[in-house]
Amino acid sequence: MKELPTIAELSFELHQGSVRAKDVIADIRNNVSTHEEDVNAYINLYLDDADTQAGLADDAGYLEGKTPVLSGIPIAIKDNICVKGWPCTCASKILEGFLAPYDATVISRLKENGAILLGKTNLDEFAMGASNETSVYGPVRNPLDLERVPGGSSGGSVAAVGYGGAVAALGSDTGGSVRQPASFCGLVGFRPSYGRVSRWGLVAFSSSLDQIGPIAKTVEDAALLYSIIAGPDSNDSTTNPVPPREICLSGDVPNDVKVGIITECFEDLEDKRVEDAVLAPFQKAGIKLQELSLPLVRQSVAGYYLLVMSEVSSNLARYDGIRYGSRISKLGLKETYFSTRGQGFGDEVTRRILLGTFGLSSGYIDAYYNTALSYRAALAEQYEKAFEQVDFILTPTMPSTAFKLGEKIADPLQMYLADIFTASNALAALPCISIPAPKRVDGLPVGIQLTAPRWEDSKLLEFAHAVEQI
Amino acid sequence: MATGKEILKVALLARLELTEEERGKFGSEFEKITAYFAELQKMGISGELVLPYSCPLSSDNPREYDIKLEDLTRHIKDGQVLIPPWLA
Repeated sequence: MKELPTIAELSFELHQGSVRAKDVIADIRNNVSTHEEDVNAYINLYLDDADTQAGLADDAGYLEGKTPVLSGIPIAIKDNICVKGWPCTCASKILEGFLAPYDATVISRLKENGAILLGKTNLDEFAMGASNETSVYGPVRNPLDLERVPGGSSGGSVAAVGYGGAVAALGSDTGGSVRQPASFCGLVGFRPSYGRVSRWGLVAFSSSLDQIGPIAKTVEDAALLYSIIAGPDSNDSTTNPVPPREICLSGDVPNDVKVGIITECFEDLEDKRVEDAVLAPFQKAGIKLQELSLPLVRQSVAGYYLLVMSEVSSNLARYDGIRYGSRISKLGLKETYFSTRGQGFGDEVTRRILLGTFGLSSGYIDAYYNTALSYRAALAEQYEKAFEQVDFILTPTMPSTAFKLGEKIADPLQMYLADIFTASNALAALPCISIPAPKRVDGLPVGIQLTAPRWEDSKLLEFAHAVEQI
Repeated sequence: MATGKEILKVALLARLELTEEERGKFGSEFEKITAYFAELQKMGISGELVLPYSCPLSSDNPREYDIKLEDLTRHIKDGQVLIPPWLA
């Protein structure tokens, strides 16, 4: 495998003239031919188009301050984000044949800034999964160990960056789908505050939680991509009208920084080597860690899945065989709905729609959906109180390293519990990031997860960058 | 375990066709998953029902989209979406 540069390195080399964008596309083509068959990171890949765009960028030249900041930089896109004219499958049979009629806001912003879009990456069907095993296009494998999962649901985006099939990628994170695979594959995955990045053109899964986030090799690259895609958007009324502040990556750990650790998360860890790996850089830098108790975190998987499944039941009602993608025609409109949806959705999507419909149905809504809404408010309050004492909260991203393919897929509840450290901060709408710990466990990466108060995305990236340098 | 009848009722509400095998499988999973969810109810949390939106949602500001019907679906004729016939 030819190791690809980071965005920052490539941008520097392109401006120096020591490399051409076309050379990088050629390296990606080689890496794809060696690894893609095994890893299965892409659903659709457009290398010839990317090569043409690279040629145009090279011909135009790279001038400091004049050339768009991502000019000549090849990026992969998760296949639940719309790119005009390209299929948008969400790794589901039900969207077979659907072409996106418009660019998502994040895509327009990448294009305006000169990025070369490589193709659409594999994911769990409709982003529902923690292992990337529920895709109708087959599972994605972890490029570091092909017997293991890359994590999900943005497994394809992370695996593509991992094996040198892209310089960086965009994923989406509902309850850990960017951070979790980043942790399993040794990369950086950033989930911005809910409302920082427009969801316009992101296929809705759970609208009160979905956020698009960057996947990259370094915090610097993640920060660069974030600074381009973040900001208000009139097409998404949930975006914050106040633009994010600039990010200043000094690499220095602030002297007076206060970092908290959630005791419940560390108590529940089965593998203490994960704890050691997560804490090591903080101990090395002499950063004092303050213990915090957030008891409601223990119920976060239940609260998260109740809300998510309810929203799934509502959001996925639109796939009826009439308006989008594939149709399995039967005599009668209702019969067509039933057959198209029954055969078009895979097991995990069907399971979530059924459970969500149950939780919203008359007689159960108070016990399930409304209880979960109240829980969410109470959890957010616990986080708010915790941030009166500390600047950042530290936990492992995942309770384990990457597990093997097939290990959890037969037991949905076990799979859901993989989200135990990534669901609570998403429910509280907080910005959070996973960065690789310097120390591995059994040769596999461990993710350090840092969470900041809402809207403090820039501060979080600055601190994560400093921790990355330790 | 959730009965076949209960699963069938939910599937009907969700407009999902399920095979008998699927009804059995999802039924046995339902019990385990809903029992796990019930842990939340036992905590007796009540209060605010809020979502973390940045600003109040409003319909005062309708948007115009530059998207044609033809771009959204293949099942189209004379500007109308084709649906299956109601009667044979």
